[in-house]
Amino acid sequence: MKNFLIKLAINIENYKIYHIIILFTTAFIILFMNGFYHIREELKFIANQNRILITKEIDFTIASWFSARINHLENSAKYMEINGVLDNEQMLISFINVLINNHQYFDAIHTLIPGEYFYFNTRKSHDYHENPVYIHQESQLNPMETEWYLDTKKNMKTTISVMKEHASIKKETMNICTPIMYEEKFKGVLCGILKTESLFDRINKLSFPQNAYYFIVNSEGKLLEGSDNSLFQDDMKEQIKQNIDHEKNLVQKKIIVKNSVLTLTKLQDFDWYIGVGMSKEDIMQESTQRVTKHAVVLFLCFILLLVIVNSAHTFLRKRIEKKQKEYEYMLTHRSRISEIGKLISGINHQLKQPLNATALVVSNTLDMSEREILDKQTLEENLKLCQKSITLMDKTIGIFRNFYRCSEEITHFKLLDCIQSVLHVKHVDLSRHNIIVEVNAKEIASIEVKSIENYIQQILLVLIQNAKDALMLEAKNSPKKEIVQKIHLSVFEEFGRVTIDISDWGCGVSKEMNSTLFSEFKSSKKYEGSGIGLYFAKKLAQEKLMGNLILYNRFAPTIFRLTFAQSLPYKES
Amino acid sequence: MHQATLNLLGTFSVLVVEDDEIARIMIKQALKPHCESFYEACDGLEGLELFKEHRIDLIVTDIHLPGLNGFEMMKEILALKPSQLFIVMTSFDTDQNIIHSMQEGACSFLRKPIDIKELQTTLLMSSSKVTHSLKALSSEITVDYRKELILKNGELIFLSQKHHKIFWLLSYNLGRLVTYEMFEDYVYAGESINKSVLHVSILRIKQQLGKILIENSVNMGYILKPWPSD
Repeated sequence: MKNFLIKLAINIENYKIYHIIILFTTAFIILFMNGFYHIREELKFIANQNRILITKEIDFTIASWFSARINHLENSAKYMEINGVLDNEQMLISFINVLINNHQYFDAIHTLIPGEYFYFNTRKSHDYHENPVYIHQESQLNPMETEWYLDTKKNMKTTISVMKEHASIKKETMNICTPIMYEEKFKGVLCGILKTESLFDRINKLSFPQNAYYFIVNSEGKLLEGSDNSLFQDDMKEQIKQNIDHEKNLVQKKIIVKNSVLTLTKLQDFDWYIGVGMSKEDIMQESTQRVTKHAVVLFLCFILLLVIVNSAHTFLRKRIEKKQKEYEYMLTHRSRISEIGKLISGINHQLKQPLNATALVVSNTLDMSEREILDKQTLEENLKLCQKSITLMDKTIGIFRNFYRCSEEITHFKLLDCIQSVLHVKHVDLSRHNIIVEVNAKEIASIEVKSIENYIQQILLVLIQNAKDALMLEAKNSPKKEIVQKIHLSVFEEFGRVTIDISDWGCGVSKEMNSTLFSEFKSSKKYEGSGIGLYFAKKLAQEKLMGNLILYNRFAPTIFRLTFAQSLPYKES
Repeated sequence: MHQATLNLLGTFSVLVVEDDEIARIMIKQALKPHCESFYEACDGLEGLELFKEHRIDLIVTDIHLPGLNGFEMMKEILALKPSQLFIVMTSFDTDQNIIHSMQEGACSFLRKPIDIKELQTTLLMSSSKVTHSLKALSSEITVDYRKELILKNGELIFLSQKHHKIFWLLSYNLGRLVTYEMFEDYVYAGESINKSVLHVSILRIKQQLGKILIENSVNMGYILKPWPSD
């Protein structure tokens, strides 16, 4: 399990981490949206409930406001009946006086007793004893024929009616009228008059939530609008009327008009309805705005957090990269120094062969000359051979110098020359261990490459070195076995890519080693650690040569395959 | 070195195996005039072939050679002729190389760069080891190993070329089994042979040389046994 996790951690590449981050961020945003949506829904629900509550409250307030007045009026009528107020006009006047002034429930009081008198407040408008028919002079209204009187008389119970224009007050009024009984017989009507405008003024004195409005409507669609009401529109009225017409027995009804929710509640025992309207949006808006504000702030904070985390991560990564680069540089430098040391001693040996030849030529010529058997032709031939040796030595030094100059220049060169230079550099080491390197030289003599020669050489050096190490290790591990002391290089070129297979019949690459072969600073530790190592070789091949280095075959023969682009574009420096 | 001293090499045949052309030319220049015969090869395989074709007293070889390296060549040759003398020269005087050379039976070891006089001296010194060479194989037959001569009652006897080789292969491995493979390798240039052909040849040789002790080891090869000395 632990191993699995470690392996997983190793295998996760950078881009995968980014994928994970993006995935998580998306998930978070979705969750966030979801939460926001749910909160909104919850708010809506609460707002709705709130609306219902408010409606009920208004409803209740208005209803009780009305019932207080109605009760008062009815009680007064009862009082009149019991105490025989009507019999004494003086008493009636003082009673009306009390009725008006005590609670100021009404703007005016009508007391109409047919055949007796008609009182407007405490003023006696008409005495039916004087004239049985009374018509108000200005309005031409006969109180006996008004709606409020007839309705009340007909129904024998309290009624509410509306007068378009009151005869004395000269304004629209609402008349709450109750019959006055006398010995169980209809005697007259007691009316409380409320000016419509003052009606709403009075109601407004009660405190209501701001975003609600209300109105009072009767079954015939007569509508009394609440105070400041721009929200209330004509088409709404129509809607309300229709709704009332349809259901005569309606007690409470919810009507949704446009963005408003109207609730109609029947006023007890009357054909009047109290309507409370509330804008859906209004009630939502405030809380939604607040929630949205918080959500936006939260979201911005999250984005900020992301940005900060990301930049911190980038910063750290850059630092680590820098460190790593330094470390890599140090490592390459160190390995290169050891390599140089090793190969400087190599140069000494490398020069041995031409040096040997030269020494032989010189000593032989000298010997012949001493014995006086040296003719001119032999002398010249020998000197030429000597020259040839010296040229070879010069070439050797040149190759070594180029090899360690580490130029990154992209140049045109012949691949065979390049390979042979490497073999030349490695010649001593290989000769010392009697290892032969075979190259299909004839086939590749014509291949030309435009690339970074030095890098190719470095990589080949590593591979040849490894092959050599593998051969030596095999020789050490199984001394009795006949080992083919040979490293084979096969080169081919197709489709603009050059492939070099380096094969040996050495100890091979074990399965365990296979996984870590190209990982950092590992493979070369196993051996004596020469060259830049497979890790760097692969890196060079991938990053600088547009190619790759892979293990093509693990064992018998072990084949490493180096591929690289035949022609690299010139870099802009 | 004095001319006369060098002329001591006059009876020796020398094979030089060296992959560096200039070095080879120089060694040739310095040795050829003084040797009975001089052969040169640029790699181990060529050296081995020359050895099979010719009588060679001394082999001077480099270790690092293309194809068949010095040690491998020495191994092959010594399998055929255990008494062969070698002088090893190399620029890599590692202990491993020296020990290996000793084990393979080299009689001398030269470091490069080589001084021609040093080479000549070493050759002379080594040649002294070749001198003792007469051996009696029966009451009648005596052989001169160095010159590959067969004497019957003091007179030279010449065998046909194939028989000569068969005989000398047996002689070089006196008292040891010479396998069919060795015959094939040395006498018949690696071609596989019918055992009866070889048997006929052996019989002919016995006919010519009289009672020498060549015995057949069934399905393996032949052994030439030394004459039990008095």
